[in-house]
Amino acid sequence: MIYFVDEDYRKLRVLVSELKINGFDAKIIRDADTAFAELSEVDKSNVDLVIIDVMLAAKVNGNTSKYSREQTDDYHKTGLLLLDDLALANPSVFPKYAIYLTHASNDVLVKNISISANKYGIKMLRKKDYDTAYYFGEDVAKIIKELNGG
Amino acid sequence: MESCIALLLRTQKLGLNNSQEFPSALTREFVNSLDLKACSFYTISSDEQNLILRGQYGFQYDEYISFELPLNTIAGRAFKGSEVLFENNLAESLEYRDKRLVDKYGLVEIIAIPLSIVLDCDMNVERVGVVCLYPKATEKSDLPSYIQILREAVNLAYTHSVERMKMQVREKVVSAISASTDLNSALFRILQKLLRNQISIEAASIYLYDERLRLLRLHATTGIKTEKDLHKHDISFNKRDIGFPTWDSFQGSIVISRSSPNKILGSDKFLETTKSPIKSLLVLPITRTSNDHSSRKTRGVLRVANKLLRHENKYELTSFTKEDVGILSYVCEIIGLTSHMFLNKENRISYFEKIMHGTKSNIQASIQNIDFLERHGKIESFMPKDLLYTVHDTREWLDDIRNQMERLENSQRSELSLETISLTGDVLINTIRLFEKSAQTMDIALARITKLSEGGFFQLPPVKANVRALMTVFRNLVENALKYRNHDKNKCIVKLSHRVDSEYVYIHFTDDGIGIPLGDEHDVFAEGFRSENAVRQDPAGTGLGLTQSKEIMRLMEGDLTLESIEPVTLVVKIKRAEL
Repeated sequence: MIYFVDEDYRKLRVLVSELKINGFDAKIIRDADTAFAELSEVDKSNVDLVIIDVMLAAKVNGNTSKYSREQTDDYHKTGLLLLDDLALANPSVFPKYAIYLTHASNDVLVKNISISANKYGIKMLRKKDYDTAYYFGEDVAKIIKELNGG
Repeated sequence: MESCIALLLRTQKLGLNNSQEFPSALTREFVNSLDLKACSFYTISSDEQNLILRGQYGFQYDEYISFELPLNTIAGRAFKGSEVLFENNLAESLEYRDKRLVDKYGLVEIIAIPLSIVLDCDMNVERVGVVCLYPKATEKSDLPSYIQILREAVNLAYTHSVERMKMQVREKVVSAISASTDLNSALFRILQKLLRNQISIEAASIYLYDERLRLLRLHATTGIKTEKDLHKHDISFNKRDIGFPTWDSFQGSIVISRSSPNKILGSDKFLETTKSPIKSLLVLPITRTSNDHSSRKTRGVLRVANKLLRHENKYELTSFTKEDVGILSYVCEIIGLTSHMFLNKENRISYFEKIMHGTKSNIQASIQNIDFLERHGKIESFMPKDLLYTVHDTREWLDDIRNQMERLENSQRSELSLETISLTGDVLINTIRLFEKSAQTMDIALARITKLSEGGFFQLPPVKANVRALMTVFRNLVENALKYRNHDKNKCIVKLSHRVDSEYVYIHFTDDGIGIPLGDEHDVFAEGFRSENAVRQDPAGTGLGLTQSKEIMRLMEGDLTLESIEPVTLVVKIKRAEL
């Protein structure tokens, strides 16, 4: 299963379809809190890849959320915090099976994402690099193949 | 000695006046303190051909032949030689021309003190004028013994007053600029300030160079006198106009042009409208330093006509003085910077508008193509059913972009063209369709909006609005309702209701979404503001939609207000059409 952690459900649909055409199962998780609840307990055998959007929503009710506006810099780096939490909670899956997917153009944010990706030894994909879903699907398939030792 | 020190201190204090007020204040002080019959204060014209009377105390102004004094006079000689001159027999002196003053006031002696501006701490100076003292007593006073110290005090005080004048002009010019939203109104305001203030010019114009058309274009004027009827954009100069003061000054120099009794002013191509016949012109280049401070480039010219001096019941056109040129040069620097900033901004807006135009055309064409394919059933024929959403999504995104651009464009306008429309037929029906279609593409489990036929909407009176602009407002409300719905329940229910009074129709738009937190209700229309829960749900939003929508409603003489926060009810107030 490929998990997309991104609130922009409609804009992901076509990527999900592309992955499905390539033979993968894919699921969208809309916010960081739901993602943590589900992925902190997910079994390694059920995960092909977790694609985390960095500018990511959290649960609307702040009282039930792990993530605050201050902590996440106005939710611009929620994805980075989510991966930190998942790496502690479920080390058999994270960070190894995660990648970042971002639309960030702000230099500071891009640098932060890059630092985190290097720290965990994971890939960082830029949405702007994919004008077609086809190439996105191709890259994701390649990453999964590498993770599986292929 | 004590009285001398007291006078020096008082002279220093006079430097707190600006350079326009300083001459009168100083001459009055000197006449009263030094036992003089009179005192006159002259500064040199910018072409250094005449001394111009700036202030005096003790004489009637009507007694002067002219407020301009040639340099072949005692005062002129003192100015040229930079030395204090004493003349003890004015009645016989050939250099003293105002003999009527000598007879009327019994003048015997004159002391001419050269006046300078101090340039630095080493007391390097620039000569700018002369102060003339007319002692009462014929016997020797102790004045000559401390005249040099007095001279230094006057120079320092006048230097301060010139700086003070510059600061005052800067304050006025900067306030004129900050009150303006576009270049031409800023320049026009600057001219008004110059006209009303201490420089006492009679008319002025500002020309700026248009790189594209390669000509100096008139941007602001107090009024141009032309022989034939010309459009404003025709009142320009180009490289064929060598020899005209305005074009010559654009090449980088200050040009002074002045008529003499035998010669009509070496005229410019177009001249300002003045009450008196044009006598003098001063044209100064407007320059701006390059961004790396390595060079200065001329951007245009400031042209001023006729320096006016009014002393009591005497009125005369005189030359511009060196200080006038100094202050106007300073104003030119500010104009250079201002015009650069405004033109830069206006160019960017123009580029942006062109890009918007191109993008809008492309989007429009894409939408039309998709529509065409949909209407002719071509899409269904080759697209697998479960992937048909891609076409609908694409169409909706294109729609979104186009509408966001339109909303931005409309909210930036200063007015919108309004017409009488049917609110329900032209706008609300489309709002309902938009809601239903968007809810479908967003896979919302339960999406419902009030049926217009059940709410009496078809009986609403006609309103005065711009259909497309009003539609962008309702579209924004629909998008917000859908975007900020309760995701856990994945439902969105919108209630529409209406109210009518003698002037307006009010549409109440209520959704059952995440609501607005208490305390945020006063900020929802502020530019860029986003509530905590809105950011949590959609971090990428801009917080501009409601701001722009409110602005659009104001442009249509209506309004957009928040009535309640839980549930959120927004009220669109639309002006009724006159019957």
